Amino acid sequence: MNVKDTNRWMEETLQHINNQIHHPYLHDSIGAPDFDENRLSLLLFPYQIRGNYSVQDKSYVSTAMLIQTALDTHEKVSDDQTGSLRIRQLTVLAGDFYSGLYYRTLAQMPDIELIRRIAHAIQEINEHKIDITSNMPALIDSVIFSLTKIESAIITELFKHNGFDEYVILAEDLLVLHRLIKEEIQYSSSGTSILFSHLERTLPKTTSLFREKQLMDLYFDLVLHKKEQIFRRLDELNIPVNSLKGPIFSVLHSSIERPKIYAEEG
Amino acid sequence: MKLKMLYSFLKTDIEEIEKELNLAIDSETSLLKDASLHLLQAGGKRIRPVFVLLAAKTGEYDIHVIKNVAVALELIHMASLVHDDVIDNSELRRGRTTIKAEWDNQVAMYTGDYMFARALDYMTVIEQPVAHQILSQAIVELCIGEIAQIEDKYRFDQSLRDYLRRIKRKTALLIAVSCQLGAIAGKAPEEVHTRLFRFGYYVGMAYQITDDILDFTSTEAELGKPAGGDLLQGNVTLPVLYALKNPRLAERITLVHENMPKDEMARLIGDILTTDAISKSSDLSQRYLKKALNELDQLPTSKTKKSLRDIALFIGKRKY
Repeated sequence: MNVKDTNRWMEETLQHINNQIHHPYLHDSIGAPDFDENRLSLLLFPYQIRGNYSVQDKSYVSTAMLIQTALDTHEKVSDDQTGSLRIRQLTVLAGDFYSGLYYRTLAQMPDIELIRRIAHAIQEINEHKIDITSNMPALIDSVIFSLTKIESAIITELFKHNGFDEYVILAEDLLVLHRLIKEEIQYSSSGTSILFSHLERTLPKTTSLFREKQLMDLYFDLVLHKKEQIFRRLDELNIPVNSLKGPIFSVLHSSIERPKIYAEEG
Repeated sequence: MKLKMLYSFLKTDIEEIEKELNLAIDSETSLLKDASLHLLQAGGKRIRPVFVLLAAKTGEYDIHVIKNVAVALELIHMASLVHDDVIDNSELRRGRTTIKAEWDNQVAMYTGDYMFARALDYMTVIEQPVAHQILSQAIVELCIGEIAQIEDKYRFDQSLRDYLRRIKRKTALLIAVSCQLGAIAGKAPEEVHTRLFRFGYYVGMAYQITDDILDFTSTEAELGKPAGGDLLQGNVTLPVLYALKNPRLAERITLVHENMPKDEMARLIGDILTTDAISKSSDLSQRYLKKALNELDQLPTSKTKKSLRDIALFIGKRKY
């Protein structure tokens, strides 16, 4: 795998997406969307292994990025009434606009089978989003399953569609691992996180310090278990960890350790 | 006469569409199903499915195929309404609480995205790429139109062309596409489906201009919101553009803002109604209607053609 090629493919793909979504008024008002480079590097991974990346491949990868951007943009629409109404209005419309663009790209290719697959994936994602935000599943495994689907359904559908089935489980595990890490960052900074509120519900009532330690123990068990699964999968695929390049894999190169304070107390 | 009477011969098929719409939102996630059903049960004219069915009659009409397009178009419309209520911060729609009011913005966003995905799922039964190219382009244009509407708020120096382009994207395109896709799904010849697109486009333009006139001429009870609400929100519609030609009124109109006192706004609307703004707007609506009927004249005589003509005329004359 050539790092230079991958970087060039990433840049070209981002440029391709930016050309499609360019809307001066929208982006002057709410800013251009941030593209998730972890996701992009994962999308490019099968092409890295294969060693080539065609114009059509770029359209597929751009489409997957556009869909995710549409969904992520709608995640920013909150119930906060203190923010600007105009910004909220434009955020809703930006998400709708990106959705229209991905449909247009697939229609122009034309790839109706992928339109169908992606439509199913988006239905599934929104069902899981509602499940974990409103229905509060009792089992943590159900929460992890929902988070996995929310994070990976688009990419895994594209992988299956393009014959990259062998990377589906790896993609699911990598994306949910990143989501778990994001949840911890959010919990540390704001005290709120979907994952941590579910984890908290599984704990018995104890003193707050001990409770916090138990909570973090549960979290690190989940993260380390997921990392082990990824290493096992890479082994099965015969891919050496040190050969993996791209932002999505950086989490595998660094060790995730329990914070000292918790380790000592434990 | 009621709108439904104009296409009563489609009654069975319209019922089939209604059944299919219920199936389309039958999610295993109960909250998602409840939210979608909440909007579906609020009703609506189902004008887009009606146009799809009628247009399909110009070709090989098979309800099992055509219904997928009709359901897709209605779901896209419904998804846009759910998101519109978040955009407009609306509490009520068709006399019922909106999804965002009944639940919250997040549920409304997820429900809208879900409905849009369901729509595309239904559309994929139609394997002709051109159908998807036309629909996807219309959806992109629709979003651009809605963004432009926000950009143009309280911009009183805009031109007639700005207004017409905006309402084309906002309203006319989806009606035009409903007609065209119905004909494409029925495998009608290109000449027929492009003509039906133009028919739908002209009807849609007349429909939106009429809507903009009614915002001034209807009562609060008829509208379900105060008259002149569009202007208060900064939407520069056709009657406003014509009223702006009057220098004395123009000075007052350009001072409109969202917190303008109710009585001051009522006086301004009263004064706009004394000008020729409404009659000139109505003239333009009628011109679009005439163009729509001209397009129909080129199609062979049929029951469908008569229904399309009657619906177009109904839209042009509607009072609320």
